[in-house]
Amino acid sequence: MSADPILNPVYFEAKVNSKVFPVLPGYHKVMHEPDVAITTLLGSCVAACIRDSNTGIGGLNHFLLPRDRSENASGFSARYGVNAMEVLINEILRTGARKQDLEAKVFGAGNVISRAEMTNVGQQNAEFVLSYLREEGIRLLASDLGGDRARRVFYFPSTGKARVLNLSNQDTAKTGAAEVSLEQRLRVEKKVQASIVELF
Amino acid sequence: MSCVLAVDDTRALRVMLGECLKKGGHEVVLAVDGIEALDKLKEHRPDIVITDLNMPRMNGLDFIEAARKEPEGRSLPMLLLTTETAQSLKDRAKAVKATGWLTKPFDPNQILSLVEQLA
Repeated sequence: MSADPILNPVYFEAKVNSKVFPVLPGYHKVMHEPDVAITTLLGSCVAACIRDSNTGIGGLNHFLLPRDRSENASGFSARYGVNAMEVLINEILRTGARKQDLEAKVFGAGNVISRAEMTNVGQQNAEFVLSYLREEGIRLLASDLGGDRARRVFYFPSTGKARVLNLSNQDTAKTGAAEVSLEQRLRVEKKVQASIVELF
Repeated sequence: MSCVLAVDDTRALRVMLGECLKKGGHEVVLAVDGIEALDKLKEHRPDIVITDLNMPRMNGLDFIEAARKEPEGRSLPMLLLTTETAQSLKDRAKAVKATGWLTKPFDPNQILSLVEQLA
């Protein structure tokens, strides 16, 4: 019986000789199984890999800040980014981790989108994630940000190790094109997105 | 204009909530966790509280439970603003007499309209 790719997307990846769980843009995953790595494909998107240094429970998110003309601290773009960080961190804290025991590695934010109006998307993502970690006092152990190539990241929360593979020009261009669509979708969605309110 | 006590351990969230509420013409008091929020509740006597759930030292549910025992918090509207969605936590929120539950990411217009309705 083969695994259902939606319910159970874990597959064996020979490049890292490990089972891996793939994370798509806009999602996050916290892994409890010590023998499974988490992987994601990043162009100008950014991934924060965060773990509890005591238990080895951790995971990563994968997000991109949509452009936001208001550019203020409570603008849509900032709220989107803060939320992407919070859902990952809260899921790790729910396992009993303390904030001061969290450690992070960050990847991505490449300059891979050739459209003139989007050339600084990667840089904005990098600045956001670094400033968030600094303000929250989460230790940054390593980073590989910027550059002109897309990357595939493999993160092993149980040990904290990460492996980064740079993609070919052709795959970089494909990743950049997919991120242009993602960014456009996010900017449209913000108009209809509202938080759920339940009054007791 | 209302006085809003906004409680969140994430600095970026406090800044965003503060900016949003001030733009709506409200006075804002910020706290980083439930313990600080209890002190600020007594000191500033806010008209409404918006609090995160997961926070170190004292979480949002324990804060609301404690605040309901204080004269300043007995009949105060207190909303949880959280990434959590579990029914068990919502049930606990009802049990400690929270006024309502909002999921993040927050919508500034929705927050302002709730403050106007409830405060």
